[in-house]
Amino acid sequence: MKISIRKATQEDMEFITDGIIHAEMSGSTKLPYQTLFGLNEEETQTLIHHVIEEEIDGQEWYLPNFSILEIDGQPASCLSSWVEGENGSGSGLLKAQAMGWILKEKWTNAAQQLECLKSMQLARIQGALQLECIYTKKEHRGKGLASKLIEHCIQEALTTPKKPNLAEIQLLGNNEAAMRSYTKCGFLLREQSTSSHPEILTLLAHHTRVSLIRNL
Amino acid sequence: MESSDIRTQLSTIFDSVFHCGAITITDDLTADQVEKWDSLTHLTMIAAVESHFGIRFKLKELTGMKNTGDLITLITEKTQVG
Repeated sequence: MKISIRKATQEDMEFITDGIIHAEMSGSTKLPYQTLFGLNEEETQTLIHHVIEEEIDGQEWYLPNFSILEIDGQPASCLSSWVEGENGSGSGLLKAQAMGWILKEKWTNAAQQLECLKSMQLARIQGALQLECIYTKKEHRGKGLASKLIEHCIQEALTTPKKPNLAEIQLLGNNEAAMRSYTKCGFLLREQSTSSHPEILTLLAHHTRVSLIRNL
Repeated sequence: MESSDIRTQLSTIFDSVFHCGAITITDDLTADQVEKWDSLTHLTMIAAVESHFGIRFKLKELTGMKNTGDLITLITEKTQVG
């Protein structure tokens, strides 16, 4: 079994989209964008493609931020990493701008549900290396691939001039297996936010969002 | 349109969206400095600015905006066209 890690290219679009969707679902059958904006699966994929194609640096759905772990030349894991606020704008704002601009009325009409999501939002740490959209194909889980990819991205970030001194992962509280795996990689609980909004579980798999950090 | 006119009008828009009172619009004002300015209210503010000034922003322009000074520059450019 030959493992290699490389930066994503345009040809990884389908795999990355799949990774984003699975990461957003957090082990459940709920995809927030479908519920929020009334999109079917194909429309959700199109939305993700559209945001990626807009090439907005500084947020998670920027193709050059993705790294791909391959097994015997086939993509098995992906991860997006960037330094929060490096270009002057927060990643959440950039992604929301892109989605709002693309979805227009659908975004406006979802204002109430978006407010509901805000009730458990955690601010990302400025200047910290963010690790997001961590996904491993089902048949390759349990092999420590995500950990390898995380370690690779951390080491890569440490060679850049603006060497971050902290790494952060945000995820939903139901994803206990992922949390155990990140804890093994040296991540510790920094903060968690629980929403008591009555509609939160119609949108997400869990009502708690967790921030894990690791000193670099 | 003069930059000072734009600032005055933006102050009213910001107050209606962020409920921040009669805020002083400076070039370096950013979302971090206004309590209710987040990813959701930001888009509401942008829609209000577009409607008020009769302009449309491109996505690249929106994502390239770092502070209120950049927003004022774009409004100035767009209201001068034509």
